[in-house]
Amino acid sequence: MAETNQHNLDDHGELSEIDRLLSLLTDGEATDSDRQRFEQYAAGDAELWRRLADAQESAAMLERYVDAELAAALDVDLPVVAAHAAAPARSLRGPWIVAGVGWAAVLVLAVLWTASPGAAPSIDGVQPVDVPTPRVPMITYDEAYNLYLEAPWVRGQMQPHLTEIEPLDNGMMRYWIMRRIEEFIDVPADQTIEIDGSRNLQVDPAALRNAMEPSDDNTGESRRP
Amino acid sequence: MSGHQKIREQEGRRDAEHELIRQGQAGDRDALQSLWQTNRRWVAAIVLAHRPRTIDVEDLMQDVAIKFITKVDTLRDVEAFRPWLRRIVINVCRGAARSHKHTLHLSTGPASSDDDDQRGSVNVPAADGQSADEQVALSDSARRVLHQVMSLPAEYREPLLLRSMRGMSYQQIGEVLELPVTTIETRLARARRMLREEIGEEVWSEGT
Repeated sequence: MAETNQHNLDDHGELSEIDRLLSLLTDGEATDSDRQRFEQYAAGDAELWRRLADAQESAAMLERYVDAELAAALDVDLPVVAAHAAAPARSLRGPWIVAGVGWAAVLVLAVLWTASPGAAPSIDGVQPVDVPTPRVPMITYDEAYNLYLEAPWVRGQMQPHLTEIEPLDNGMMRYWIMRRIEEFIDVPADQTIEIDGSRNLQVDPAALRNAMEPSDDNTGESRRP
Repeated sequence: MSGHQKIREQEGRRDAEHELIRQGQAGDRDALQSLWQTNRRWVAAIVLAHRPRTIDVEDLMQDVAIKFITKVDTLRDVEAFRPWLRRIVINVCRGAARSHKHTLHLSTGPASSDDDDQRGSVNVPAADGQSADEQVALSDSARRVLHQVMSLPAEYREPLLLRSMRGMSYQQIGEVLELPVTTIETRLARARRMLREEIGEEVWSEGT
């Protein structure tokens, strides 16, 4: 026992030979000489066999935990690299682009239209006065997208996901990215909305929201930024 | 298997990997795919060791996969493939730590004030396609153990996680980390002792 304690000294945080041998035996990396040394120590302290069994069980458990933690990550494959001018996977990409940047683009169009009085349509045959177009600060697509994320019904966006890499003729690589926004629409309990078997909405969310939500006058809450 | 057989087998695997790297650099996509599949287990362990706490390992793995496929032709010394890939992983994790504050993660809520902590606690990633049951697959004791592993200094955390991805020998861990086998031995033994001191016996026995 005295010899074991001498080789198991932890007082100053130094690694003991017992620790080293336990680790080597646990990992199956011990040499014959290491095994003999351990058996010598264990001959004077049978408790070391229990410590070895515990160490092996702990290592096996940690392996299981790490496996569980990384299960999804181990399915990650290399991204698909599209051939030059190959037909892209529109069926996958299209709807998500509408769901992601599509709303931003719609918002941009709306902002530009409302900010251009010179382009306003005539009312009752009266032509609008030709006034100089004011210098309106332009909003970029990305700014519009970020603006949309601030809408009161938007909860947030998920991590952008790469769907495809496409080499371009000019030596650049085009990264196709899918953005996903989570938002809500309040629907009366007695109404349903149309979805398919994969829970894809069969209606335009913006149109649905407009149909469901009361006008700005009733809510007192502006829906324009 | 004898020591000589083991060494020959390791050398054979290494030669085959070097050949795949050369083929991949020449544009062979299948070779790259094979390389990735052979190495992604330990790559995931390195990601886990270095990721910021609010970013899923899966997302970072995707970033690493992109870097790997777009940068592999810059690798000059095929012998240094694994350290090169590890550096890519670490750079991806650092880059993510710098930029992720602006992204809201639905699975984890708003970024916390200690996001700069490279180490990070364990939160089961809410990966796409996972059911709620899968997301909470880890027990409390597993979370506690993994949390303690993540709290170890990187020099101990990394070899321990690599070792916990089954099948990596000390020699292979040493190749990835560019350290002698004796150093790997010492770090693993020390990491285990630190864990035992921090966690104690009861947590391990809870999981049995």
